[in-house]
Amino acid sequence: MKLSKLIENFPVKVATQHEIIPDYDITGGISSDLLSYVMANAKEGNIWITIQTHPNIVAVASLTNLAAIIIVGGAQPDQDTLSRASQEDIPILTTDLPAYEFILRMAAFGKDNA
Amino acid sequence: MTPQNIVRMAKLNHNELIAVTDHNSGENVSAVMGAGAEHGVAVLPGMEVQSREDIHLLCYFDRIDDLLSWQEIVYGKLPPIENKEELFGPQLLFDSRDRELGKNNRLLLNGIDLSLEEIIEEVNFRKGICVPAHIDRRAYSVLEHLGFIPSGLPIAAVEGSRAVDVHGMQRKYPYLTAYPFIVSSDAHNLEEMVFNRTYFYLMEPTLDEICLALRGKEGRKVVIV
Repeated sequence: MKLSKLIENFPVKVATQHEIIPDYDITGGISSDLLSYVMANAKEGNIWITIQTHPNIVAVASLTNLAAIIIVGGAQPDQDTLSRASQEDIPILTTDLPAYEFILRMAAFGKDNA
Repeated sequence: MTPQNIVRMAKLNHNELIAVTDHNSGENVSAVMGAGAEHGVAVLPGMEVQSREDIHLLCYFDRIDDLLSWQEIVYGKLPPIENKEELFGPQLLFDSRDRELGKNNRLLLNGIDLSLEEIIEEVNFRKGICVPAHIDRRAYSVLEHLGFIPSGLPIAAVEGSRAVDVHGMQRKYPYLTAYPFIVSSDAHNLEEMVFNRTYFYLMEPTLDEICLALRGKEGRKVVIV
């Protein structure tokens, strides 16, 4: 699935600033709030579902070439996080949905659009 | 662990300086300081605070008033949940003669709603210092939760748990050599107070002297055995 399709079909807001939102191919996803775990286990092109908002998430996403960071549960990223992510052209999406709910919807959407 | 027991155990261990760092609270510190004054053991006021990222951060102050002012912020940022004694045990408050004064009913084990950086800023503003705790451990450590220490973070040192291989850590993460290292007992009972690996060479047991020692200035130093 393309990132643009996710943005179109899910209750997410793009919190970062981009000239054009990069329309990466999403290769899969990872859900964890431990950054060391994500560094070790994320695959290129994954979306990362987390409640962490610290600027270090941008470095981890950049290191592992993630397609986007999805901050769930209504958590709001720090300004520093957003400006670094905008600089690195890594989209950060926010949603009020909790992680479990978001992933369930992704699964349902995937089935209907297979 | 009561104030008199802690200080008397410190005496037995020949500790001239100890720090009390309860989790998200400093309410028992003045009692231990009182017991310390009685027995000639210097007690540094401190706290182990848990950040929004679930990182444990040690905070040390020179003055109890600065710790208590910081505690007000922490209590304001703790989720308003009551302690469940049957699950977590009682959170007792003592005076310096080990008399029970009451209980803290606020559940202290949660993270507070401040980031690592915000905590350090507030603590430094109160003339305190911050030290990320047990960075070699999987649980509640900055390396595990944030992957690495954000560059330029104004911390005074990093702390390893009692079994840490300091040189091994520094080989694995070379950037750690930029930070002074301390190893603490993290004693949760009297017996664990014997795990005592950090020696501070100071003129007097104050935070200023400790900061000099951490930076290796003016003949002060820190030695880990």
